[in-house]
Amino acid sequence: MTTTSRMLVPAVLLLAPVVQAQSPASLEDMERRLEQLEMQQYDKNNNWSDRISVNGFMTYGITRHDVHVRDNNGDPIDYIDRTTDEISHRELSRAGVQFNATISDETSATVQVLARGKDHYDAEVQWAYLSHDLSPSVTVRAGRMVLPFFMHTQYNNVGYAYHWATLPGEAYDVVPFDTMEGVDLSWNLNTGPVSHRLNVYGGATDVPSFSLPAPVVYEVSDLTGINLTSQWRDWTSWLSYSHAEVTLDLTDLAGPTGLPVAALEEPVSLDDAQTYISSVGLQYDNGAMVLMAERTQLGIEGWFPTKWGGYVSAGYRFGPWMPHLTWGAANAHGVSEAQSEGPVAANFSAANQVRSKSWTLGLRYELEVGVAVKLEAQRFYDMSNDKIMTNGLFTPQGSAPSIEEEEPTVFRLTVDAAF
Amino acid sequence: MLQKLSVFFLALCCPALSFAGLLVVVAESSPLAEMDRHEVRQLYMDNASRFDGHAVTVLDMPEGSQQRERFYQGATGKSASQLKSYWARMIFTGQGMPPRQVKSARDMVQQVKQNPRAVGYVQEADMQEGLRVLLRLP
Repeated sequence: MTTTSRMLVPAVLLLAPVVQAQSPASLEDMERRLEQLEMQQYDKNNNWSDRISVNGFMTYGITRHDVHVRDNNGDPIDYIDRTTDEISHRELSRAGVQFNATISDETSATVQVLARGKDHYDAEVQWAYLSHDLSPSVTVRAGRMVLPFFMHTQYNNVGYAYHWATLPGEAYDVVPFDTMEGVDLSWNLNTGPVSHRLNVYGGATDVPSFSLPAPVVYEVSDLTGINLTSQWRDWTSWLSYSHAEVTLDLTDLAGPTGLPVAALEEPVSLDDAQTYISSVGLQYDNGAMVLMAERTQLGIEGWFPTKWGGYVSAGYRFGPWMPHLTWGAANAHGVSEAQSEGPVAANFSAANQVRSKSWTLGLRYELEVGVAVKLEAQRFYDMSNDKIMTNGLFTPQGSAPSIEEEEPTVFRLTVDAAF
Repeated sequence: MLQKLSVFFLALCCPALSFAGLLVVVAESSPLAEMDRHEVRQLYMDNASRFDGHAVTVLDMPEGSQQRERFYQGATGKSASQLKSYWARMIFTGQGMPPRQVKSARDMVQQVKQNPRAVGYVQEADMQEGLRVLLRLP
């Protein structure tokens, strides 16, 4: 029996004679009501399945590319630091589980744990926040959350949620992103037939990067951002802008590169540099046809290069089958400025630049509701011009020969589930 | 003869009956008056807790039921797997949870009748006293 109902019993008993005096039948009535009240309390406190929900997602995937030339050390060429010309069962495989506990009508707690094959399945908490509804349309959350930089970033690990085997690399693998510790506020509003979700957030994070001769950490502070998702019938638009101050200490690089520490100071190091990340996207889905396009950009003031990425994708559902085609592109500018800053800056800029285009042909098959099989081939081209000499998202030129002539293609096969 | 004829007519009507319309319903005592298809779509896709200034509880049929599939096809144009993919995006980014699922068509009728806040959907054949229609889906 709960405290409330314990207190209710004497109260009802005290009232009983009075009630009885007025109408003898109503005491029975009251007892029955009390019993009902107790049952309700009992249900509320013990029916844990109504208060806690568990959801999960999983991907098993295999991937490889077809470039068989070796880098300058005789090692295989890597696609996005990892995938080689041998089949990897780990690179794309991952599993996540989310627990959501309702604390009251307005407040809940959520924890999402993710284990990725590429991290040897070491579990990592991606989301851990308390959520509180300030009103039916305004919600505030505090804790750890995945950064909402681009249109699909917050569910980038939930393969079942999108039609590709992996999100387009030109847009999603050029800017390293992950989680932040902070607060966000979401406001759902309608303007006529259009419904919007406006989200603002603030927090801090550290972003490790492995694109230089030794691992470095970008310290991201005063991170704030705003994004707007608008929906009208079959159309969804996305706008986002984030701002941060980024600090990068490069003194750890002095050892591996043999450079004097002084050479690694400005303009290659960063000290509270003003940084922005933006994205604009559009989706159309009428149940059969899917169209999607997005452009993302990263700029760091007084630093180089400014990078942008984007894609256009179209797919059509024939029952459980969905063939789709995607064109992606990424580019960097501000590279020539770096040349005038001396050899260290030029090399540094070269290690950070990107240029790539690709066509992705894919097929998604719904095995059953909640399970999809996806097959994909992505062919890369146009990875250099007169200013930029890269291998796109593969091992950079300088560490490896140019691979453009090899017509590099990445293959992926995944099974994605959501439950 | 008459019996044979009526069997014949029943046989003719049956396929039509199984494709009879779905009705979006509330309890007789609900303050809600009417809803169009886009409002029903938004209500279910947001699992909204308010409509037209009134508190609502959106009720859904169990996953895998034919009635649910027909309802979403009619109200949103989405298949069961597209819906699953949509809710995967919402759940794993903390933007929302799907509407609560009842156990059966009979349970749907009971729950809507008992709860003036509830919004649900039933087949035309399951329509009964105590329920009020907000929208008829083809």
